[in-house]
Amino acid sequence: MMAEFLGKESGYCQGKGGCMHIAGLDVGNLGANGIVGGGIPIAVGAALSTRMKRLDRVILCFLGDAATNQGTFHESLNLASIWKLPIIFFCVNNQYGMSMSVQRHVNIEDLSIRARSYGMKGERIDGNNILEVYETTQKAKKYAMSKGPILIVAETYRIMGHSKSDATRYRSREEVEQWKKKCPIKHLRNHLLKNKVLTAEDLDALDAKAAEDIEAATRFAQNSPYPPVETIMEHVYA
Amino acid sequence: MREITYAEAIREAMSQEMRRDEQVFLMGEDIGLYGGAFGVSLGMIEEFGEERIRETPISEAAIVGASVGAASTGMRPIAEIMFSDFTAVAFDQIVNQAAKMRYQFGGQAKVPMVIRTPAGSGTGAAAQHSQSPEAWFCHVPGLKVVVPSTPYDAKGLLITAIRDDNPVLFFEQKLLYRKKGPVPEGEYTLSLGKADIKRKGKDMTIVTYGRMVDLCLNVAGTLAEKGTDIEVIDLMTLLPLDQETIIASVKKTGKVLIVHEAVQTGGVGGEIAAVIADSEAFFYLDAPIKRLGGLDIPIPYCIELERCSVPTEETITQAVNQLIP
Repeated sequence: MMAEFLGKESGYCQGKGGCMHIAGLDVGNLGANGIVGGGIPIAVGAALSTRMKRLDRVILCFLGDAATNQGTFHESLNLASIWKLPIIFFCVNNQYGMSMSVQRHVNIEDLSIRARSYGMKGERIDGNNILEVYETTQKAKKYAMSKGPILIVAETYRIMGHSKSDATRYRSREEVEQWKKKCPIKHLRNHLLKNKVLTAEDLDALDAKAAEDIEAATRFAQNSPYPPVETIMEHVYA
Repeated sequence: MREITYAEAIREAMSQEMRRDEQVFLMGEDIGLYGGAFGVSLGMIEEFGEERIRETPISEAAIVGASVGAASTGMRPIAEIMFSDFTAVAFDQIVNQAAKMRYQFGGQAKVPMVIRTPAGSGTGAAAQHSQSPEAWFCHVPGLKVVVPSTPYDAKGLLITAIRDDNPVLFFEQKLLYRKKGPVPEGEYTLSLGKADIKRKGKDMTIVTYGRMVDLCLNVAGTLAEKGTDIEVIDLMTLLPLDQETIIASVKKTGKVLIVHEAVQTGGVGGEIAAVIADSEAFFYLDAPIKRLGGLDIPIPYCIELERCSVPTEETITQAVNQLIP
């Protein structure tokens, strides 16, 4: 992934996709999408394949709060619902569509109620509680495979800016600080310590390992070559 | 050889491919008992059932998007978009998703899907149900664009399109649906990207496609009696474009008229003219490259206005006469 961020040949998409289009079809990742809401009907199509090929598989489709205002969101939920496809629509409500807050971009408080108008189950959860996210998704998987689609809306927050050009003029420092206190990683750490699952040393070692992995990935990416220019015309057509 | 209609040829191509390959299925609006807006899929639901003749709500973006998702995960969907005007509703899914998936994922994905859609004027359906929007898609690498002009071509090209591993836009010509022609009963394929010389000639070349092919052949037949020998090229595929056949013909005849029903400005005629001007055929030209497209207007409702908005045998003859006085 790091190599793809840097547009290197060793990246997932050989440097042709970049950070907005990372995919790993061999491991079942159908790719991220640069068009807000663009991937939702594609996920429905993958769920349709699963159904038509009688595969024991469920599709997990990530989308943001702002994507729920795209027509594709509504068309896709409806289609998945009438066909009862095995798909989980997982909406990460990070409170902002670029700079527009969810309070300004919809006139409802709970995005999960949008599922109801398609005769589908919708659930709203604390997205900063990793265990709640895990358990809800596990249950949703069983539900989607037996009954049909489900919408999960996980409430969380985008601590960083939307992109490197974002000066975050549209929100207060206090707001960001408030959300930082709800950090899901710290929350999980405290939970694991409290329940004596892991010791502080174990957790520190995990943190160090993660930092080391990122460092190694970055080095790998930096040391990888750009794809040769001769590959520029490859992959337009199969 | 037995004769069947253009619509029957398309239905036969789909049915034979669906019998041959379980991954092929049809998805779209009112394609079941209704048989599709033009009756192309009539009877298919009885043979293949609701699972493979999959009716959808009126949701063009979802129809195309779901086709992209199904195609990239091992199926071979045929999406019917009821009128080619409605491809605009699904534009993002066609040009940003279907066309780019393979390239932007570094070759990981294949998107073997066909979008079948009826195009053209002449049905009294006015501006939003009569366009010929094929040029929109010729500007998008990753897509293929096909426009068949005969029942024989329609069947062979559609079978090839279904077996192709890329997204193919297949523009059916509404006014040709009832046209009959000889079509073999068995399966056969016609290469995408290969034009067909529908009439050989030496005095000038007409490059055309779709419904305009018959009109140009009629004009060529009439003018042959007056001693003008016109070559008529049916492009069949607009993307990729068979430049070789066009260039070779223009080198031979030295005069060229490009005819299409789609509005002239920004139409594929401009690209064809540029291909000729860019090539060695330029040095063989005895006259300027001439284009005849539809007027630069939305298709009007009134039957007489509609008739005059696209090339007719009269206007094609006039254009030919400008090149061969």
